[in-house]
Amino acid sequence: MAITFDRVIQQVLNRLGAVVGTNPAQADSNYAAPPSTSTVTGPDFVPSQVQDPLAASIGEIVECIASTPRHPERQRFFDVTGSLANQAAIPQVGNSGSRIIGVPGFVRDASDSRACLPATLDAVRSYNRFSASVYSGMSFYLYAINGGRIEHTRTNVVMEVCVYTRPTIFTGNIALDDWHEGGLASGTVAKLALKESMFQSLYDAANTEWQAHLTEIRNYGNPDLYGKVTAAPASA
Amino acid sequence: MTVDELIERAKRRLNAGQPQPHVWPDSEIDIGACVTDALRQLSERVMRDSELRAWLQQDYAVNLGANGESTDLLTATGSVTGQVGEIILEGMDFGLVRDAENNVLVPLMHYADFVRPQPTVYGYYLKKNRVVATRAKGVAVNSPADILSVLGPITITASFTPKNVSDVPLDLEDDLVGDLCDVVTRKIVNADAA
Repeated sequence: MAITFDRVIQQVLNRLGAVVGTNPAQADSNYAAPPSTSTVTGPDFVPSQVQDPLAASIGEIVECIASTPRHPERQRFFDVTGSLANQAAIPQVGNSGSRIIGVPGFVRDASDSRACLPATLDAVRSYNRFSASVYSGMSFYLYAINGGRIEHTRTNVVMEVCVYTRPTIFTGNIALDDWHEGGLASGTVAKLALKESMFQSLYDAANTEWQAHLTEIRNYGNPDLYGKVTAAPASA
Repeated sequence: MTVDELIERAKRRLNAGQPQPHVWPDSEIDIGACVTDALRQLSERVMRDSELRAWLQQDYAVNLGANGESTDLLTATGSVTGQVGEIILEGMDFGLVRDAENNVLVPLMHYADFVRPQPTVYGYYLKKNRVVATRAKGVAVNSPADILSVLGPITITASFTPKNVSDVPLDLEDDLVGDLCDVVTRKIVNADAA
């Protein structure tokens, strides 16, 4: 199963009352067909006008997933950074060249791939300052994010991150899990309904659904709902 | 046992049975910073324990200078660990000092005792200024000018504080883990009470 651009665009157009249908058969046929200028009433809501708000809704969902550290769908947008030395600036793009979004995921040593644990800047800096004396012989795997830089106690680390690039082609499947279909339609309707003042109540309802969907995504970050964290979320 | 294993054992011992949230895993680096203190605490206790003392005792071969005094004791290399700077000064009193002819030297605690007449049947040593001054047997001393040093190098058998966790014998590993837990949980103690 997959969500297709066509189906979501048709759902959006339908909720906006834009699908042509003077009788049930014609309405059904136009709704089931790929959206085109001949299947809509226009000119307020035509298929190409739905594409941009749909892309915006996809972007917001992906950002929401990428900003939720334990969300299982982060893997869909997975990428890694190159090797990062201590105090290196966190790159803007992953190895694939796509833009990094959201919060960092697993941080691991670039050599032995052991997990690095999030720690305080104080702990990381203390180790780096006294690694040859107070901490001689010890090997800590710690990191801390300091603004746009990562400080850590290894030679090099690799960050697992989420990346995202806006879709430019609006055919085929949308790279999201099926359960986002309703949310995508609501979010896109909410963005388009603002175009007509008579759609105020439609906007209110669609936006409420949309915000609830985003909240549901963020809830994956709640350890009571999705996995227990004892002390270190990224422990090996 | 490596130092990483020591920290892990201490962390797990501190963590065991504690309700959530577990805070000790986040204190790894703090525990690590206390390892040297724990080694010192362990060696001090072992030095005073006649049953365990031998585990943290080693010989130091120390040359004598032209004035008959040893070189700086902090530069003496331990025969077991191969490290310098580990010797515990008072640990010499729990050990033994011998000259190159294998004569056992008797410790004198005060410089005034060292420079005044003593029975000549013994050789003597005195700790001062981070060195050991020696006084040969069979030589009557009525003033500092009469002192004749022993034949060097001298061999000092003394307690020491290991620099490396791997130099702690298996028999003492459990004690070291306990001392480390003690140091990190006690945090601050009056130096006089330590």
